[in-house]
Formats: sequence, structure tokens, C-alpha cells
Amino acid sequence: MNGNQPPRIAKWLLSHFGCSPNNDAVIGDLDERYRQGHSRLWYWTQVFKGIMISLAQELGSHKLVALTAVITGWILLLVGMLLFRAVVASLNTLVRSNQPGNLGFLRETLMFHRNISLAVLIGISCIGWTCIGWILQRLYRPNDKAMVLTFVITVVAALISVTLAVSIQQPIVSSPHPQWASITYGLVGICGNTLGLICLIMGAGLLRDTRSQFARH
Amino acid sequence: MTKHDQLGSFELMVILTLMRLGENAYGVPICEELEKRTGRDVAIGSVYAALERLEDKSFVTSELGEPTAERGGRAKKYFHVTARGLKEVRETQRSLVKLWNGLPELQGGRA
Repeated sequence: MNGNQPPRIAKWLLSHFGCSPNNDAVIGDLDERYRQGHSRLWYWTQVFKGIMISLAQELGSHKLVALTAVITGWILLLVGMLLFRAVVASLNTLVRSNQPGNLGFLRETLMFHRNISLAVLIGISCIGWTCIGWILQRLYRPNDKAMVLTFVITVVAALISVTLAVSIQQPIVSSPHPQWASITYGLVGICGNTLGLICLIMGAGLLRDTRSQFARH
Repeated sequence: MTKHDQLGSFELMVILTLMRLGENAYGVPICEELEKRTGRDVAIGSVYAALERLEDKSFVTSELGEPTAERGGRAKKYFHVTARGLKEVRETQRSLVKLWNGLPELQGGRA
């Protein structure tokens, strides 16, 4: 018998990202088998397979829904990006203008405290991502978990391809080390987008504790 | 019968295992029995995926047991073969036996 507790992170991942309607029973079975003497690697492998298989099963039985979820997600993302650009353009205009009064104070703040402008932009971006997750979760119940994860996978694939392509093909020539500067720029982009995706997953409610829901069924 | 209602090879293995286990058919013994009989590692996720498909086809029903401490307070889910499932297994067996019969490659247990 293995008296240890199963790996916490693996268990957390399965309980939040496993798409099977029997997810709670799967976790219980994994815990029972782990305590019978299986290794931590075995547990992690089972968790990874469990998430992938349950996602594939959900997508296989709801192909059309998955396609519409991905298209809806991308439309929302594109609309969000357009709105974000509009906000950035407005802030730039404000910073360059000579507005008196309250707007003038805002302009001064944004100009002299660049960190505040950056925080405002990151905040707006996070709210946007959260809203996309929330809308997808509302639209695609009861398969929302699988649909949100599918959309996230398409976004991650697109972001990685675009970031790699841009950082390799267009080095920042103004830097003394253009190639490294481009890679750093790409990594910053990836980190920013990872934060966005975490907000999306939070907005979709995937990080909520699901124990109480399963216990009711 | 539509293609959707037919048994896949892994589904057939799972349903035969359920018949062997009888009343005690939940995830852990199903996996153990499958591993013992086939000699291969089985992912619990794939067993549940097959069980969900079988339940959709009404070949299997399920019921929740009591939560236990060794399972982190989670309940076992017991599966039972329905009359429809049993009928489908018999039909699959008949079809497979007809296909197997008379094949020289399979005579005398040669590979």
C-alpha cells in the first residue's frame, strides 16, 4: 500500500480541466489505485491521459458545437483587440494633447507614471480576456469546459506560431543584440498572453472548486 | 442498427469485463481485470470514455455508491450491463465467430 497523498498539482489539474461527466469518479479511482502502490509518474501520466481523452471524447461527440465555439471565441477576441487598440489610441491622444482640468491631471499622471499606464492597459486586457471566457462559458453549457479548453488550445497555437515567426523574421535592429532583443520581446508577449489566457480560464469558471457540484449528482 | 450502436473493440473488452465482475464493477476493478486479461496498461480515462459511450448507447447503466476515505471522499460509480447491451454482445460474438471460423491462419493457435 502507498500511504502518500497523490500529487496535489496533478489532482488539481484533473479536477479543473478533466471534461468527463464522471470526473469525480475518475479522481477517486486514481486515488485508490495510487494508494495501492503506483508511482507519482504513473499518476501524472494517468492525469494527462485523462484530460486529453475526456477532451477528445467531448469534441468527438460535439464537433459542430466545438467549431462554433472556436469561431465565436476568435470573433470575440478580434472585437476585443479592436476595442483595445481604440483605448490605446485614445490614451496616446490624451498624452499628446494639452487638456486642462481633470483630463489634464490624467494626462500628467499617465505621462509621468508610465507604470500606471501599463497597469491600466494590462488591467483592461485582463478584463477583456475574462469577459471572453465568461461569454463562452455561458454560451456553451453544459460542454463549456471542453469548448473553452479547445478555444484556449487554438489561441496558444496561434500565439506561439505568430510570436516565433515575428521574433525570428524581424529582429529589432535598433538593439545592440537584435536577435536576443526580438526573442525577449517575444517572451514578454508570451507572458502577457499567458496572463490573458489565465484570465480567460478564470472568467469561464474553470478554476472554481467543482467538488460541491459533483457531490450533488 | 446504425454504426453508432455497434460495439468498438475496446468497448467490447470493457463490456465483457463488466459481465465478469458482476455487482462489483467500478473503475478500479475494471482496470485491474482488463490489465490482467490483456497484459497491457490501461488508462482509467480511456475506460471511462468507453463506459460513457456504452451508456450513451444504452448498453450500460450506472449508479453512485457511497464515498470512502481511501478515495479522498469520492464515491465509486458502479456500472451494469443492460439487456440491450447483452443482446449486442451476443450479436457481436456471433458475427466474430462466423468471421473467425475456417481461417487457416488461426487454426491450431499459430500466429
